[in-house]
Amino acid sequence: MTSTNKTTLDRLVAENCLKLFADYKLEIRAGEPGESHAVEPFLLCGILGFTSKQMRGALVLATTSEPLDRTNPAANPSHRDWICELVNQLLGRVKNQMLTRGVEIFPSTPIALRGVHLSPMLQQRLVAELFTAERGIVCVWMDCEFDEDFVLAEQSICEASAMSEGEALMF
Amino acid sequence: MKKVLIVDDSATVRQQVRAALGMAEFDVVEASDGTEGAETINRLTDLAAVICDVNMPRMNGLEMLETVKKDPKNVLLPIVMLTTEGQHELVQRAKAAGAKGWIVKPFKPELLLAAIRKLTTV
Repeated sequence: MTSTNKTTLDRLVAENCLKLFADYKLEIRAGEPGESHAVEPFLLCGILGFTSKQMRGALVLATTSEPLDRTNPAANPSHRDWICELVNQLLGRVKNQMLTRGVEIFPSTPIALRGVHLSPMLQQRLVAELFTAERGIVCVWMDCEFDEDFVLAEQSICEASAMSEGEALMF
Repeated sequence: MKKVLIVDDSATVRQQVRAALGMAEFDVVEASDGTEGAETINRLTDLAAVICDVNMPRMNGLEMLETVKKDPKNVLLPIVMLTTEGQHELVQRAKAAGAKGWIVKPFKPELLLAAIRKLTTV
């Protein structure tokens, strides 16, 4: 059941990654199989660990410099800080989707890694989703373990019990 | 000039909030986690409002909210949560502790400004 769970989760992560960058006015699209990419190495990698009753792991977001520059809303941008905030916001979105599937995720705080050849290990259970922007690459993957008997619902199974991105509620 | 504290571990978000409020009539001061936020609230007696993230190192935003609201001098201080979290249980916990609002990131600067203006208008 782990591979089915992983497929569902990968789809959720990829969909939310597209929406996250769209909210920051950067259009990214899924890379085509065999598509060649620029040789520019990933600039930074944001990593956010999490736990839940049914699963635990980390969400990883790696990008080249252009997508970070293009989306950063600050006047004096820090790439390191911004990749941490992006992976934080991405996991927030995934968390809200997981709530509708009966899974409550507890995130830790994000960290940034800088490296020349950052890439996921190409194992059967670890598939990275690669997106291309006008200039640059965004790569996202979730490395996680599920409890043996856990089945992640492919669709929502309960009413959304979370506010949406950008929503405000005054008391 | 009314003083607003932004508590967030992301310098980018703090800058974003500073840009949104700083162009208006607000003097923005910063803290990078709940512990520093609580210390700043205790130190500054002229804060008009606080904007606070939830997931932060050392002390998270909900813990900070609950801690500072226990002090009678902070009962009327408006605190708005600004976070990636949207879970209703957390929203209700913040409301019960005395928060005045909850905004889910990414936020619209004009919406945040309107909320803070409303809360700081006597």
